[in-house]
Amino acid sequence: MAGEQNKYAALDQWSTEQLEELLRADAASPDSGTEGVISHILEVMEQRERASPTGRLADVPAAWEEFQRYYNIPEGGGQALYPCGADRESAGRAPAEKVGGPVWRRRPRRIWRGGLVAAAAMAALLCGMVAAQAAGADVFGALGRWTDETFHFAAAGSSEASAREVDAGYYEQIQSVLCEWGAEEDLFPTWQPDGFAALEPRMTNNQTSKTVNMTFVGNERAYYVQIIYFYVPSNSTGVFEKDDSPVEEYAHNGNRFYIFSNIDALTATCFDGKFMVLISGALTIDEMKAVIDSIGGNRAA
Amino acid sequence: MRPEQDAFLEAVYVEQFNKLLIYARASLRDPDRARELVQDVFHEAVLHIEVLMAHENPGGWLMKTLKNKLLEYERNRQKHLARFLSLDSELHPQAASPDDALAGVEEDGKSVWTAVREHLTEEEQYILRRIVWEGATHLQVAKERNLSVYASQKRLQRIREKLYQAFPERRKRK
Repeated sequence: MAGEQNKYAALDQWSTEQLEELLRADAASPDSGTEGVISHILEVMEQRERASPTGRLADVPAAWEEFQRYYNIPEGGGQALYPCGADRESAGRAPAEKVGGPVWRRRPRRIWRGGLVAAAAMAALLCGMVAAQAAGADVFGALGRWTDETFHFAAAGSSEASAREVDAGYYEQIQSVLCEWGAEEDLFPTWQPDGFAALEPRMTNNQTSKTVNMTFVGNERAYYVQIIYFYVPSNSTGVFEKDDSPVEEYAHNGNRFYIFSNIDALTATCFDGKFMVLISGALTIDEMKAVIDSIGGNRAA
Repeated sequence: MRPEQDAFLEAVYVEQFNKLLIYARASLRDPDRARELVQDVFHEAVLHIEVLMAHENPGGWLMKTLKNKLLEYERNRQKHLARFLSLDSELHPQAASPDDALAGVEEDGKSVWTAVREHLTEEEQYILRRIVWEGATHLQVAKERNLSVYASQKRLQRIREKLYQAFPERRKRK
């Protein structure tokens, strides 16, 4: 079992929010076969919570008392508060035993979700191997990248097949999406460090927000830009992992960016209450500021 | 349950509760509902204790059960989103009140909420409002009204049945 856990050790470097996104994707997928990676993620998150509590864990003795007092009572015999879908299909079998297949099968567009977790597991394995060879390079931060819908793994020194030149068409694609969302100014950077190419931009959405994801790879590094539109007002716009380096405030076009680091990745973010710009990856501080400064600037011809 | 079953259940509860809670919270983003779903998973464990004790991986059994509950919950939520007002799921529209949520929605020329008030007792209106619109869990309603969680659930089922009788067109859509 220890070996099984170690297979996914690279996931230990993911932020808690990223791990939660994987859990969310797994929960939304009827697919199975992700038990190993999910078990590892839960173990990691529980350990983190014990080390630095953020309220994700319950007081188990109190929960047990609540369970005995309110849920495990004779009145509840034979019924579930929240039935499993499969219960209706065969009431005589245990809810977890009857699911050789999914509880409900439909909407092929969701198939990616299970694949996402599987891809993350594979990436974690591959990442661990590469990290052993890379001797200090930011292998994980530079090469592993996932969005709501996809997982990219770009091997060091290579560009993915979908990498493309950052040209006027690329920006028009982003611009049209942001216009549709009601953005009143250009929110995306128009400059990348030399040698970087873009992957195809991807749009994702969830119950409260929509996101355009731009990933840039090159020079054995990678970084991404996300523009998140919170179309449902939310008090929770994400918590970022950071190390103990100070946060730097950086002004651009009247907007205040916060720049901070986490291990080898640098992150800059700005939020106006509706749109969040998030830039993160293996960039130097000067490169990050140049990327920020290019927001709203001239686009590549 | 027999003493050894009690001991087994408590041990697996202590070991697995927080893991399941982390998973459910990530999926639902509603801590109270997540906690209630996890408690319901352990209630399933009680109902199937012999299967669970014989299982080679009790933690996996519990996780699978939770996942099934989450999938069913999400299926109901999606159904709700498609039909705006669901009578089948513990879900709440993004609205300040039933009046806001149902403003302009009419059945047979009558405001839906007016019709709801005509058909439900005050107690039933309270439960409908708390669970469906305000997102309260059965545990919260149970504590507020001095009921059991299962009584809260049954009353909600009864409310739905009354509403289906009041709005037969909704039953057809279901």
